[in-house]
Amino acid sequence: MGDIEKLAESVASLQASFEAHRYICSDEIATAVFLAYQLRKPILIEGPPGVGKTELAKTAAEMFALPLIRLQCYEGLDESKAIYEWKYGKQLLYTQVLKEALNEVLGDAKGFRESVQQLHNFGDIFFSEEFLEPRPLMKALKEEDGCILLIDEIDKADHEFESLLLEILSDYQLSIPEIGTIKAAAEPPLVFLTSNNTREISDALKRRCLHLYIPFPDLDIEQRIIGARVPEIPPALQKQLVAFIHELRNLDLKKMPAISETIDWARTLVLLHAEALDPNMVKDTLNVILKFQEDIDNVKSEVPALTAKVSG
Amino acid sequence: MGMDRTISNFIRALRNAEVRVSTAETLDAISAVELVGYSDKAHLKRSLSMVLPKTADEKETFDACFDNFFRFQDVRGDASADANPEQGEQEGEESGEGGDGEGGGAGGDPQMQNKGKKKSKSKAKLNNLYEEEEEADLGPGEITEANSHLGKLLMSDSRVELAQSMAEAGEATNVREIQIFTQKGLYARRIMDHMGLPDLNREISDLRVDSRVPARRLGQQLKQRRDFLREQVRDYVEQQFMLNADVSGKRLREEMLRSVKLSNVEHLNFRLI
Repeated sequence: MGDIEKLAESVASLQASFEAHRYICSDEIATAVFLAYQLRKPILIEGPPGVGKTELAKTAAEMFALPLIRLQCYEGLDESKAIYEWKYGKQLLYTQVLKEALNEVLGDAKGFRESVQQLHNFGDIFFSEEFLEPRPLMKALKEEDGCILLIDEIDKADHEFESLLLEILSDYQLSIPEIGTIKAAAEPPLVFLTSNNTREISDALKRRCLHLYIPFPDLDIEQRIIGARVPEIPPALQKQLVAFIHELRNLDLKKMPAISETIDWARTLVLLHAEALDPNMVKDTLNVILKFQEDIDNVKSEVPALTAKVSG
Repeated sequence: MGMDRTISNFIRALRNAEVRVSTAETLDAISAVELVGYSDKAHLKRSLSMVLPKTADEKETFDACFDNFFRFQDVRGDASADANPEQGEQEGEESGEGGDGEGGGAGGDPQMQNKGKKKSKSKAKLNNLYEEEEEADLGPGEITEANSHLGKLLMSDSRVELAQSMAEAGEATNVREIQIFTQKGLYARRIMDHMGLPDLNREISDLRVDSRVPARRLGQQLKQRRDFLREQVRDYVEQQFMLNADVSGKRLREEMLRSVKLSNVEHLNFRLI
């Protein structure tokens, strides 16, 4: 843990370390991780898709050298998939074994009442941790040395599911009716929740988290991101390509190109041995950055003008 | 304690601006402040903006509120605190004069310590607003005693008493009832008057024409300190406005709706439809 403490000592050291792991982050992002670690609070990260919300959690796990436990949310996700499940098969086997050993257990009990009494005295393990199959949330609590828990796209899960999370988010513990409360190991997990804003997250959940909004990055940061992710890119191309993407984000599009698209595009153009943006090449590769035919059609006619603008 | 008061006042101002802040979040904010301190305002703002506002709208309100509030906020106990240019200026002036440096950035009343050995440009300009003509600075030297109540208070260099007197005047003029921003000037004037500005002004103009140099020197000192007090009062009123006023105008709208006849509202709505 010493290493982590050192890393999380200041915002600047976190920022430098993220950069060393090829994740270029703004002051806001670094501050969020700093506070999350120091105050032991989960971070709820919101922002448009593809700005590096999930990547932040992954990089943090890599950086802190902690295991990453990920829970992908979807409609209908419930506690048996997120928290725990009983190993039903094993429980069945257990009853079979018990049945065979029943004579031993009951001994010389006479009559029904006495037999039940004997059964009660016998230590029953039917509902015990032995037969518990931990799912991501419980696994995260049981990690002795801490871990990064990523609850991805919480807005995809049902509203009720958020309530299931409240206990773990505020107290790092889970209550199981048959067993009792399971508390986090010595080092509680560092929790990242992400949301794409497809619906409002409840106040109760927000209250328990730090709230970080990651917008599309500014020109400078995005260029550094491309430099870190696609180091082989020629400098002229790097500059023009990012400027082009920023121009696109000013247009009225169905889906804006995100950082992940900028990176994909940079990789594509590098593979095509481009040294600078060329209108024809841009037209041919528009489908890498725009995901709707409608957008592609609209942008195509603008390509020469935009390319000229960012090359000038 | 001072720190906690600052943050809880800030939260009051936020709530007043319709950012919902729960008790748990208040505690988080206090922990965050303990962690990051008041010295780096940008860092403090970034940190609190993750703890207190939780929606895009609230973040916008938070930004404005923070800038307003911490522009003049008394951040006690953190002398090197301030990145704010206005206060930096005051601080520079003061340290140049070897006044008691502590509390410069603390925005309390650093200029109270001002021994007036030199005038900075901004200061001279400020004075021009109120005075007919610029007179030569008499520099340090012998000085007579102030006569008026406020003059004595200003010359006593006691921040605590000055702050107390300002608070009393605020209480007496019901500054808490301030509702809209156009009232700020009015309340500032009332508070100054209540603190004894008319007497002080009379004293200053008498001293200007006094034949004795020590008396004229006192006049200059009082003038500087009066201008500084004016700033302080303005900040105080601004803070009271943020804490108490109907910043978003919501109460005013509700009040108006209550007092307007329902039938009139309906008619208006019908016409709009």
